[in-house]
Amino acid sequence: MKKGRLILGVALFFIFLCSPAFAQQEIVVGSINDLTGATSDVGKDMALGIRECVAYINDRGGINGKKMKLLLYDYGYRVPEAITIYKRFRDFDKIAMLSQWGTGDTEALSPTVNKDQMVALSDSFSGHLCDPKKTPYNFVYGTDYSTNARACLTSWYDNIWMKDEKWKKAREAGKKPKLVCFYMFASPYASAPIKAIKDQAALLGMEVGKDQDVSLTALDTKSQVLAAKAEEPTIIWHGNTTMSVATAVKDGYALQLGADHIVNNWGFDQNLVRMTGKAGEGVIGAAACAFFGMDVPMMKEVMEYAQKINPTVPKEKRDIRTVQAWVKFGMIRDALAIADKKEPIVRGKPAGPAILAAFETFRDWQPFGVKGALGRPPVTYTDTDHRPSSVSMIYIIKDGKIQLLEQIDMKKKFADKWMSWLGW
Amino acid sequence: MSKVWKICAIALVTSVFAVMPALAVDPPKIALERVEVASIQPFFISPKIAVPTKDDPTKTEDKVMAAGYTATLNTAYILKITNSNKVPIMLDELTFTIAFDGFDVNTVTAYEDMWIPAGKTNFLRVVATNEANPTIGSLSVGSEWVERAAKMGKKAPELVKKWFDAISDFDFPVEVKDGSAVFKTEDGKELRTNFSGKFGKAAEKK
Repeated sequence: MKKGRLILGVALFFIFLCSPAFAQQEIVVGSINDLTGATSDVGKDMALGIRECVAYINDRGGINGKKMKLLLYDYGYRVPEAITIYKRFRDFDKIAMLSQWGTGDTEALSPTVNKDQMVALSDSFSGHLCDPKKTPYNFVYGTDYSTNARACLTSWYDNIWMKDEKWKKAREAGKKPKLVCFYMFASPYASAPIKAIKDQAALLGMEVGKDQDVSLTALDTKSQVLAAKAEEPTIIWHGNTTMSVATAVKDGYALQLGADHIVNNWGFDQNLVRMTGKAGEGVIGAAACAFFGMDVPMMKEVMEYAQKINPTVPKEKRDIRTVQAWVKFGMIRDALAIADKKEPIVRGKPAGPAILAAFETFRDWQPFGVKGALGRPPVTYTDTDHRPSSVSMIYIIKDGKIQLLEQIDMKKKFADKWMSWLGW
Repeated sequence: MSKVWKICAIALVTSVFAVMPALAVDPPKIALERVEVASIQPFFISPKIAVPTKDDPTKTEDKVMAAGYTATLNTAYILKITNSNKVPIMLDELTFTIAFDGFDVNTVTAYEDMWIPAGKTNFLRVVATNEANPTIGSLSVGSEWVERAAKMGKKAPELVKKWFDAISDFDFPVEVKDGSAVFKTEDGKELRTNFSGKFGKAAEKK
């Protein structure tokens, strides 16, 4: 009799396996990316990293056993396209949460996602998205641009201006260092931290020169460099992306500008090193995490999945954006897992408030629960502050290689100012 | 043996045989069958019309009529998907990059689920839209493309104009690269494959 029951059990199990009802549940995440537009050179690396990370997540059980279903679309860095894709995600695909790309589209969609109670995690680290009083459903995963800009300037001031032999004469003569900003005025990304870096310059007792308008597609910046040179700057802030930053750094070198350079995170990568060569020596930049291939925990998995999922993309073409994708989707996985445990996420049933609450439980979060993973400083979100961290990772190009200059904690260093910097 | 046990035994054997083929399946093979121009506009970066000049009404000058509008090129990629397994396989999603003349100009994704019967071949048409202005922008920002264009002695708008003008003849190589597809078996097992392909007279000569 017992034997018979066992056989019956086994038979039923196999029948269950064969049944179409044996379908894994899914949690759908919509991702808006730039694969064809003005930032597609870095956008493609990001999209590859996202797919690889999602494959890794699903290979390891997904989100509480549910598959993370990724829908990733190109918007060509155009805001109307992003709005259209978002509406499709919301109304037809019924996504649980949104992954976004640029500052323009993220800020443009912010009123809508907040009205819809749709959590949006963006690659734009604009400080404008970090005040939950104004934009409760917006999150950024990297230290915000304004904190990074302040940190780059402070790090340069402490490590180079105050110590380097190059500036000894100027220091001893009592000269004040002078900041000039190079960025595309019309670009929301490039202009986002300008107010903050000028405020930081004033805080450090520096002078500020006239801003120079440099297009994201600039192949020649000689007129801007010559205009800046007339003001005798000591430090240039580059707020654009890699291509135009490289052009300006090279033109500055050729025209003997004489100033040092600090760069926002989307302009600082291996391509900058390659393109600037000798002119790039000493350039300082912020980064959201470790660079592809660096010796940090979890990098082995990032590289393994790059090979497994996209074997035809050469390793030398991969950059920090792949690693950023892993930080971002590691974060999405954990937030969805927390929310889903509290109340199962079902397609079509709004889960925004639960996912928002899940993000706001993050305290010293690190990717995949691994200490030091991917070189990302620990992330904390609260219901009063969506800045992920007060720590900026500041790197420098030395001997043709990107090296860590310092980790700077702006909250510790400027404790009395930190809260007043929220949201700008 | 009672009737119940006989039914159970038959069910067990049937289900084992039903599962077995799915345990040893290969991902279907994907090949680029051909590329078509789905629709095209004559190349322009911004729409302009000729209007009489103020000083001399007999002469005209070009004025931009609506910034932001730009010529569009839609290309269709017909992919041949062959399932040589003894079980049907579902295409879950598929993505690939498109390169003109070796320059990456687009990356497209198809999420529509499609079952491919056992031992059969299906064809999938994926349409990609390229607008002149953003394509120029993309080539002007990507360091790899800027350097390549410079080596060819070309500027990004010249290259894009050439592609719009010559695409119907396929005189330059059109490439599908870094293709990646995810398939599913009936029992939910995921299979992945990569693919690539070239099309055009330049590709045929090789």
